[in-house]
Amino acid sequence: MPVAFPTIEPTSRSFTAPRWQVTTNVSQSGVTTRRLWGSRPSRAELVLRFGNVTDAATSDILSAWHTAKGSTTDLTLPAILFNGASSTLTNWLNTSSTGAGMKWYFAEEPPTVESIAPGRSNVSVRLIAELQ
Amino acid sequence: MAVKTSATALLKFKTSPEASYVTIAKVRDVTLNINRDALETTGIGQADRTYAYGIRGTSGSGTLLYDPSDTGTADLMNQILSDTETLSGVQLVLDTASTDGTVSGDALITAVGPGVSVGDLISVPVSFTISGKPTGQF
Repeated sequence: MPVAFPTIEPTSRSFTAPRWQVTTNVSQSGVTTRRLWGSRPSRAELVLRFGNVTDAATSDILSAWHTAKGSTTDLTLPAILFNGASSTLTNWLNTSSTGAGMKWYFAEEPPTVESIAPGRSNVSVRLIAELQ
Repeated sequence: MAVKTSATALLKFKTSPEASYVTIAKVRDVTLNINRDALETTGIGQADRTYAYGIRGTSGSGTLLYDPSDTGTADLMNQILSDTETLSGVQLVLDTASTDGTVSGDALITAVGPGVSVGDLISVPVSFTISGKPTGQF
């Protein structure tokens, strides 16, 4: 059962496109050969930063991490995470254009919370999308 | 009601929180700055910046005229030479005829810089930082 990531608008977002599984061999003569393993890319990354958010929003993120048991349960991502992007770009960012089977998880490192002021924190979260 | 001039204003100083405020005799100018941080909360999809209140900070500066016989002036100037960890106190009174317009706070004297010029009064620029929330009201 996927865990719903909280509906909070990020203040910054960094996306790394999924990687193709390729191995590269360079022969003694200098010829490079690449072998593609599979027909689908995987392991996209999404780094989200929530700046100066309330304690309630911070708690929601930590609760999602706890409920998902870290990186063991997949997540459903709300559309608000991709605010500011066109629908076409959103489909690439949420990997729906990549094809079925990609699931989002928390990365293995937990969310980090930097307390800024009473009731306000900066929260950083790293998510990964994997083929399952 | 009427607007006030510098004639109704006073700057007071005390050497410790337990001491009593002493009026500084000759103050040429003084400024008290109370700031609250604006924490940006703008989301990626927003076209206009949004903010939330952050932490308040209070500091001030002014210029005194050097009069070593005046207790308030001497105490404030000597505070920069003291090794004590005890906070001082600064009080700005904007209207001596009213209880409003008086703001006080525990203060650290952070700069004292007497300047001497030929044919001029000895003036002493000073700076202070308030520790904690200032009390009083405008």
